[in-house]
Amino acid sequence: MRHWTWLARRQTARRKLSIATLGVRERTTDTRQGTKDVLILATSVFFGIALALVLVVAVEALAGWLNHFFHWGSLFTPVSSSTYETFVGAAVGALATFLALFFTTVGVIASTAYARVPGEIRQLFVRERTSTIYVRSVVAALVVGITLLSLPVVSGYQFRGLVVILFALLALFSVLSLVILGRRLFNFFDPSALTERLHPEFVRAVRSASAAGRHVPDEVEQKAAHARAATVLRRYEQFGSLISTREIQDPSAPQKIAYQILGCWGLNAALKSSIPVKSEWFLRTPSHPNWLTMEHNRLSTALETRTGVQPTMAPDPLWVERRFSSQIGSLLPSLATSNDWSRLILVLDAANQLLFNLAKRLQIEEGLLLLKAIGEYRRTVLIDAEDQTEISGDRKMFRLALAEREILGYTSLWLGLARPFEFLNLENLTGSFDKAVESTPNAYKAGAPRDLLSLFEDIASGIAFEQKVEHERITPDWWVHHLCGRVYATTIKDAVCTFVDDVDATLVGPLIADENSDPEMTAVRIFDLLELLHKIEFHLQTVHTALDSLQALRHEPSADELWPDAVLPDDKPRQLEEQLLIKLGTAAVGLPSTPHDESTPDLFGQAYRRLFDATFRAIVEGRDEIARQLFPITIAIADRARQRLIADLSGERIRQQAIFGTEPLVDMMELSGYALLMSLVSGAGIWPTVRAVWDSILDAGTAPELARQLTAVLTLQENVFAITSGGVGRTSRQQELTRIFTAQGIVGREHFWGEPHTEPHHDPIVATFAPDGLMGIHHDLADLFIVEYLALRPDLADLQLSRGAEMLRESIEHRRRRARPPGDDQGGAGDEA
Amino acid sequence: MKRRDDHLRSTRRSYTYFPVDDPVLTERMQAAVSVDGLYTYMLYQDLDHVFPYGFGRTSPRVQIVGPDAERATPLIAAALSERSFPSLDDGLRKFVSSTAQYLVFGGPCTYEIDYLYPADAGSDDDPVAFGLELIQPGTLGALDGAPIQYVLPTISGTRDSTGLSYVTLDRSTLVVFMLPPEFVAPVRTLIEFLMTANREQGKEFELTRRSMTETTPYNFSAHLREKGTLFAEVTQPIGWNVRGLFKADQLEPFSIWRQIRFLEFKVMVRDRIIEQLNTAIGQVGERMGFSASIEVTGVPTLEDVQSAKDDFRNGRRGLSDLASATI
Repeated sequence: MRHWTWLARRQTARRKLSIATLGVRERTTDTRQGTKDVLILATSVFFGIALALVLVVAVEALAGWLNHFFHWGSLFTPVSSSTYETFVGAAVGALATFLALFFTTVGVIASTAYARVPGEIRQLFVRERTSTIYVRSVVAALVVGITLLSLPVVSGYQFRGLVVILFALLALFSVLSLVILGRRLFNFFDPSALTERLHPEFVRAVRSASAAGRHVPDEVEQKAAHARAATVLRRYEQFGSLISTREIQDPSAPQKIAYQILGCWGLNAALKSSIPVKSEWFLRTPSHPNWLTMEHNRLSTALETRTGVQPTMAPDPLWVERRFSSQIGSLLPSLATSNDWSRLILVLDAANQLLFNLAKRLQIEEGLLLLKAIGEYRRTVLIDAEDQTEISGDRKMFRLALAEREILGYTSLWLGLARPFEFLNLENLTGSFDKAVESTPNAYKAGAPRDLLSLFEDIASGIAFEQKVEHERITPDWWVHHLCGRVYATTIKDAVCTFVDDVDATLVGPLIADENSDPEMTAVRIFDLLELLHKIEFHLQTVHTALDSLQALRHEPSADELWPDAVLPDDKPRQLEEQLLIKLGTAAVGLPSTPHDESTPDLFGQAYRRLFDATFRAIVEGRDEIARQLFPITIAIADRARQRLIADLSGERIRQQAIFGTEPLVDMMELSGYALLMSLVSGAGIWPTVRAVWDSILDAGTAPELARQLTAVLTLQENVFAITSGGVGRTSRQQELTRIFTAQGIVGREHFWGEPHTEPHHDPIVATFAPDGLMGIHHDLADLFIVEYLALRPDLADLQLSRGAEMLRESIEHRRRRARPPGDDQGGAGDEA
Repeated sequence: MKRRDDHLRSTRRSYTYFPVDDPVLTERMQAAVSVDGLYTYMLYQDLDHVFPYGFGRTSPRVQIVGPDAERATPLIAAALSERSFPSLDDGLRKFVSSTAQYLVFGGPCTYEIDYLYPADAGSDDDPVAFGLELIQPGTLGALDGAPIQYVLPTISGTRDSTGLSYVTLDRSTLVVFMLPPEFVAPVRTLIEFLMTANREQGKEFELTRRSMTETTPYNFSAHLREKGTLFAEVTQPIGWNVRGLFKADQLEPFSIWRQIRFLEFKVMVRDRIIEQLNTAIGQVGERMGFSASIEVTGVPTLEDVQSAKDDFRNGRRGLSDLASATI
């Protein structure tokens, strides 16, 4: 026990020394901060003094000049020094009055704006730093002034003029300070003005908890930093609560605080990797040991003493972020008033930038905390909207913008997460591993994510132990590279999987499950989610590349089964996309197809374009199930799109109306043609569904008229020589089909020199559409629908075909004749399929 | 082979006995070799593997080599097997392991060569067998430069100036085994440390109990860490890792490195003992008229250790592979 008592005394002495050092350091910092404030104040004051001096000099000069001409008593001549007593007496009286006025003002503000605030905030106001400096300067002037007045009376001693000047300067400083402070004091009617002091306080706290250079903060410093940060966080919460409950809402105050919090969060994120993992900076939560895997020494002691094992206090790495997230969540409602929500959007944009930076540092859990707060607010806004019978257009826009920003937050997080892997350099990475494990201070310079930092700390202290015990480093480089590579790869994989799972659980899942959602809101969210999923799908390849690169660090002879596999949720984006597209189809039916208004987003048009593209891709890629579900929806929306186009183009010339207004009809026929062709290629496909849809349309008595309209549209489009957007789209889809056919070996008979001869496809229609070298596909898919379905309907035998459709029919007939035995000239492809 | 004939005449002068009712001898013998206590006992057990058992991937193979190997083999096997069934493999393994344990815990270890003659043999006859009898550590002494063994008063009536009974020994029949010189001092320090640790062991229980009922400066984790550092420092020369009892700050490569280093120590001790044993066999052979020595294969060698060290450093093998190779 003597040893432990001695050890405890030594630790106590060290702690006291550390506390004393910390105290000195704090005071120094405080003094530096004070000096800074004095300088700010003094600059203003001395500017005033300088002006006053210039004025005095100018007046003195003027008096000297006037003295040559006028001799009015002692007006322009030097006066007796004994007269300063009057001046000092008056100045002292004035200073005392000013001081009283100052405190009266403070008292008025404190008793009104700070009447119902926590005492801590009131204290913050009363002890506001510049006010304190002012009070001190006045007190100093008063003391000097009273001394000037009282000492000559008591001792007969006469002060020199310099002291009088000193007093005069102090008096001037105090008077001019009050002019500046008095103006500023009124700003404190808004309590958020006080929060300006909190941000630097937090910065000081987090900096003092972080390692810098060779200095790693000790336990006392860590605890002091924690206490300081906890105070700041508590005060922010109090301010947030104060502002959100004010009778008159002013979004500028919460905006200011939100920016400060986001700034603090950003700094915390940047410095987090330089804070020791087990630091007292983090809040402590009990962690109970596992009795089945407990180490021998601890277990034997517990058994011998018949005692339990005390839980260790494990650090909570997210303690700051939880508080910040909660504060942001409570501030968001105050940022949007009924007629101004631009500040909220600005704050969310700043939050999205923070999310990007968090993800760059692999702080995904932290980012998801912020997104959770934003998501909860978005849901609250939606629930509030459901309670309202009528929502104004502006409010509707606000809700859409909010929903969009939430998903943009996820997009920022994902892009930030993928960013470091785009530039992953293995040589630099191993170099940074080597450097980080050289010593404990070096570990904090690497900017590593938490798990990797923890490993760096362990390896660095292990190597220090080896050097102490073995007098050399034992741990080889290859082991360091392997282990660090493994932990890094695991961190990357976990981050990616956590993110994708969260997108599914938080965004996609609830959206799909919500059957009563507002179609516009649903559509907006789906559009953003589709973009997000596309980005996820794209950057998953980047992550794969990074994980493959890290494999180079893997030490193969170790056969380490803990090395993470390279399996990422590659199929998840596509699965979620399909669910969203089906949901979009449902929502699109409810979207208004009123004429386009440029002041609002064209959700219906966007939905139609998305669904058409998705249906096309599903058909040509052989994803029959999704294609089968999307096709009827797309056809239904296409008809509504056509009707809307008629209204949209009502102001255009007839020809323009005809060209652009009929695009949806061409789309319907083209998509049907693709369905037919791909069914012939695969032997499966969705042609039966497509045919059933058309049968139901045409059997409803619309057949002759609609069919004539459809063929007329194709004839019209053939005669258009201008390059239309629809035409370009059809060409690009044909190129896509060419790519797919070529990949499957379905190519035309013609070939270039040197290329092997290819047998034509057994099906005449497929063979007709097989691409010929660089010429690609010769026929339109819409014509295929006309030729092989519409024209073969018994009730449309006399249908007038377009020129392209005629040419296609001839080509197919030609192929059929070559393929069939003589005399067999039956049927269309629709029947075959 | 057959068991040693108990009706042979022995030249042995030393005795093997239990120091019943003799506190002085008891203390001398306990002080010479004491393995009581957790840490010393663990090391004692681990030293039993100085000569590996034959269950590994490569079983040790012991053979007698030399011009008279055939005649010498049963004689050496019987000598090493003491009174058990003669087996060259088991006998040598047991002899080397127990000698290593005595060397580490008691310092230099002395055996007496016991020449065995037929009961009716004449003075010019050669011995027909021999034995290697351990002179119990703590009983060996010297009187006027001549070796003696302290024994119970019931064995000998001759006493030295302190009143202890003794028997004189023949220097020419004594064989002294010693550790490699570079290990002598560190091993002595290590054993003293372990014995102190044995005595201190359990005191943390009281400290822990007190810390749970009152405020004390005792810190269990700090205690463990400090203890681990002290153990790691004192065991550094032989590489023993105290069976991984103290893991604070110890990385996986460090514990494997220690395993390799402990194997190195065991190989050096084993080779040294076999070398000294061969010297003794040579001495016996001169008297009994044979020339032979023991040769051991299939055991880890210093070359294997060096190869393991190289593999460790350059990463040619994984740590788990190295760990299983060095057990």
